Amino acid sequence: MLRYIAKRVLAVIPVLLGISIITFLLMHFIPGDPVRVMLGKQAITEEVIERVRHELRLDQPLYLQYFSWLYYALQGNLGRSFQMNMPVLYLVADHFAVTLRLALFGLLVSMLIAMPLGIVSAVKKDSAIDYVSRVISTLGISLPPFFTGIVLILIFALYLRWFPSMGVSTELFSIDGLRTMVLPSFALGFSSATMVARMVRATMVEVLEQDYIRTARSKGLKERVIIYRHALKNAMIPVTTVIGMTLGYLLGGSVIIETIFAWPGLGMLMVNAVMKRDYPLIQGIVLFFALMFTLTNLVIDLIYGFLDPRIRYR
Amino acid sequence: MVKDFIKSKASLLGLIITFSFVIVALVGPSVAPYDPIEMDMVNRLQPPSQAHLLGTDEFGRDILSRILWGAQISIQLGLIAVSIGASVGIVLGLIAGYLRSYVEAFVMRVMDILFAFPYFVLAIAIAAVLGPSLRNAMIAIGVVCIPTYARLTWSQVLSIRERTYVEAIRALGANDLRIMLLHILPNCLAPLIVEVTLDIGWAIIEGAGLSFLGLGAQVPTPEWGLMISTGRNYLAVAPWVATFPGIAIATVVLAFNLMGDGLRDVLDPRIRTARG
Repeated sequence: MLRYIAKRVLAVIPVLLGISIITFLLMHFIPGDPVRVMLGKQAITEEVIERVRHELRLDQPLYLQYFSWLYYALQGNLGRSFQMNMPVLYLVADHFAVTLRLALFGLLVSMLIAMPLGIVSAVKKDSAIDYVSRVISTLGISLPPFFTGIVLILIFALYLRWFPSMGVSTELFSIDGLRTMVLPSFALGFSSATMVARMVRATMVEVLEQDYIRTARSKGLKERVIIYRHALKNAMIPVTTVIGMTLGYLLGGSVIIETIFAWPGLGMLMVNAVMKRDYPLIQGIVLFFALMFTLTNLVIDLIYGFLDPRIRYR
Repeated sequence: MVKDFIKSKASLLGLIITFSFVIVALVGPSVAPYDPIEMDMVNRLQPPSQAHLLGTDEFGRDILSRILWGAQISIQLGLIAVSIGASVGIVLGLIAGYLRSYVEAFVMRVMDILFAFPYFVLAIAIAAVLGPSLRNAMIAIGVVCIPTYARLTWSQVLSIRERTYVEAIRALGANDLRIMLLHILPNCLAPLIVEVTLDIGWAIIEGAGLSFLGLGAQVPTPEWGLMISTGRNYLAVAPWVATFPGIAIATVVLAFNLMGDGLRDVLDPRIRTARG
């Protein structure tokens, strides 16, 4: 297992380096002079432009710019936000907790919908329940998350007045805190739930057709025991990978959901940075999202190796 | 194969809706009852009525007319974005899978790195760098699609290039380009067609998402995502402004998903074998 862990961790290093190169290059893909684009149409002198160019180290050769950017980034210095005049890392760390909370609750909603939907659909394959659950899954994948969010606000916040339409409570474990979580988590988790439900159904159908399940049935085991103790356990192995991918999807999806529900997370910070062309901040957020996504996938890979020993020996 | 596809009611429904959507995109602008951009402040935020079947928006513009015009934009967005992603991805996957060695190592590592970014975050970053516009949103979504096509093509090429018929063609003296384009690529097409169909729906959602955030189409373009974005400010008083464009997106994406699922059942040889 240790060898497997070391192998997986080492494999992530070139990916992390690649992420750093692409994130670094982002600013260099800006058509025209990035400094002029960043400073916008404000009345600026050549002196200011040169100062900003020097501050961003854009007056150095590209490879030197990269190494010095990487050197500082490894020490946690991702530069300063232009608009807010604060260190990028401070802003990212300050907003991350809200995004993580949203993504984790989104994942919880996703699993609470996907697991029963997928299992029932597989166990009752080709029945009316299966058709209904497949229709829900297909519909869910087709709904843009921002539209789901708006429909939820319309029904549950504006008409029924059950939940607030926007904002986040600082106290998570209070009635008000949980009420602010419901609509954004559901809007975020629903579309991924339908994707996971499809995956759970497909793997469960495959597992339920295996010989060992037939053997378990012929031994006279109860159907409930067969499904939960024998089939689900094995069907969960590939589903684990999907859960990892889902968390990455939810982190990315939080950008739009935070904008709709006015959540002061990384997503909203990114949208504001984009609107104000605050490139150091955009760069920092993109880097952070990619790192989180890569590390999540690494953890999932390790769990996968733990759950299925065959993976370790490949 | 066509019979198999049509036999599935869901695929048939998907095909019919997609076909209708294409027709609407083609003739929509000429049958739209009103101008999609011209303002009519007297009739602002009117509920659905005989004069305005889907109501009017905050500037008194007819929502049905804007949806009809928007169909053209959405289909362009889906087709162009996926074409960019598919064409670049397929070429890269084909070259990497066929030439192997360091070309493969380099191309596939770059693809792995692109996969390491949450795709919507990457699309936002690219759109932010290029500047907000519909064209740049298409490019951003296209770039995000590239790794999927590169990996899919690469995995197909890896197995096809080892087949005896490729060896025979090589022995006959065919050059690499000819082998790749005429003998390997056509045999990779089945899963790629499925992926393209599913991705058109996905690209429409992502494009609408970028417009929703202000990074795609700009006002007053009748783009569906943008219409939802402006309509959400009037949810309490005029919910139809945001909901009808949302229903339009969901219907079209559903159609492409149903069609993609149907094509997968028909074209994926493993599923065909499993079905006997």
